[in-house]
Amino acid sequence: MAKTVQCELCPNGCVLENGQHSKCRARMNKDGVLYSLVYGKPCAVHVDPIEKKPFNHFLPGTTAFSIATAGCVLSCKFCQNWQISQAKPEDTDTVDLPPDTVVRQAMLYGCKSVTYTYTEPTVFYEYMYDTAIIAKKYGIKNTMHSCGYINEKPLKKLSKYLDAADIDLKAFTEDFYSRICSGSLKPVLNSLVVLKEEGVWLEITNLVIPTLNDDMKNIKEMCRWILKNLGPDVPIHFSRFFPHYKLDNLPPTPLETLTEARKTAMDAGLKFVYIGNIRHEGESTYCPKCKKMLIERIGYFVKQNHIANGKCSFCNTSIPGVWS
Amino acid sequence: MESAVSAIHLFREYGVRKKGGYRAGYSILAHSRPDIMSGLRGFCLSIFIFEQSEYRQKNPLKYYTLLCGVEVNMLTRREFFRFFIIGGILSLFGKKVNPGGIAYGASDPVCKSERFLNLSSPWQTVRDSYGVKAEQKPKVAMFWRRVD
Repeated sequence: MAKTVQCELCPNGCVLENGQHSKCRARMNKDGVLYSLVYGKPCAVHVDPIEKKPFNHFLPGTTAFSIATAGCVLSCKFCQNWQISQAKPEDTDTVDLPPDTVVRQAMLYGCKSVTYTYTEPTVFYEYMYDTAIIAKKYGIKNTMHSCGYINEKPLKKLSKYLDAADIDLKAFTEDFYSRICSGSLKPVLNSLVVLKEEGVWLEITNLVIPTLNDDMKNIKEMCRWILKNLGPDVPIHFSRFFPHYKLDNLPPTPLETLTEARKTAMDAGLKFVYIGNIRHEGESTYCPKCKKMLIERIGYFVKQNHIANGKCSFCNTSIPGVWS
Repeated sequence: MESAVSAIHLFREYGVRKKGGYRAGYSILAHSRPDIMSGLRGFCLSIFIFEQSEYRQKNPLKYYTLLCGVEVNMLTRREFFRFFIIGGILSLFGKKVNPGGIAYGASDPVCKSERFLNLSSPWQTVRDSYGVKAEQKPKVAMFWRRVD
């Protein structure tokens, strides 16, 4: 009897002989059965502001119970959590936190949502899925920060319980994904479209890395694709890069590059464009009609919020997002 | 390094809170300690930091809450953040201790609600569950197939 299995969770599609681990290091073939090695064993558990994810149009000012396990489907050279994302589960310090305990802890801390983040939530899909079902039952929302490198079928199954997703669109070229991330762009774009179709609140993060993906021509092309396929209301965050992991030879992204990217996106027709990882007026939310500041942010803190019932308090324009 | 330099500039720009007003132009490194850690407040904070540091791995929020609170207090010059810090200290008295570990915030009304109790043991915590269920078997994964 053959004991070879193929994982169908992400586009990597690992074919595993008996005893082999998947590329993400979180799954293993044992005697012809594929097991998740990280179920209920997060290596990072924190209560974070939702703005840290980043979500700027999803319950601003609330906290999210954030969990992650070891492993990742990609191998980005700039990963800021590489100590856990590129580690084997057995090499990380974990706590035993079953799905029901995650929800209970979230309630204890007064969190409005559980966020699957830090590493790549796809690798702990079973854990995330089970937790999401319980969380939804108890009125806690589910959000994830993902690279979007997941097959359509599991994503659709998960979407039923997912309230919001922040997808890292790392660049808009296949070359970048294959060279820097060991992945592919196409599945990520497909995930974005699927999430939009499934009615999950979607935000996009683009880490702008000097010399690698800071070409305004590509950023413009990316924004046009977002506009065409996802609409103008999808918030996009241009995050500042800091040297990490294998890209510690590059400088942090200059503010000028980020502001230029923001301007390019707004010129392309996107309504909500943010700058992240740096203190700047671009962190705040502005009304696309009257241009007044609606949510003033300082880092992860919400200083003032002028959105009432999902509408601008000044001109009554409807602001897309999840506000309650 | 750049971010560290920016932080120092930020502190210099805003200054550090001193008795009788705020003084700009001084580094936090020179003034934060006597300002924060003196008097009754300093005594309370010392206990708080000592107590929290023991559990910071299990409960990172509370550990960072204090530090952020102090930082924000100095940066924004908002008096009400004092209450935020004092509230953090007082919250320590609200916790319940059980033989298996500490259930943070267990005095919260939500913990006594029916829907909360419907979940498994309300006293189970990260700390006491660690070890108890360490032998948990790996979960059979979803979305895979046999290749024959």
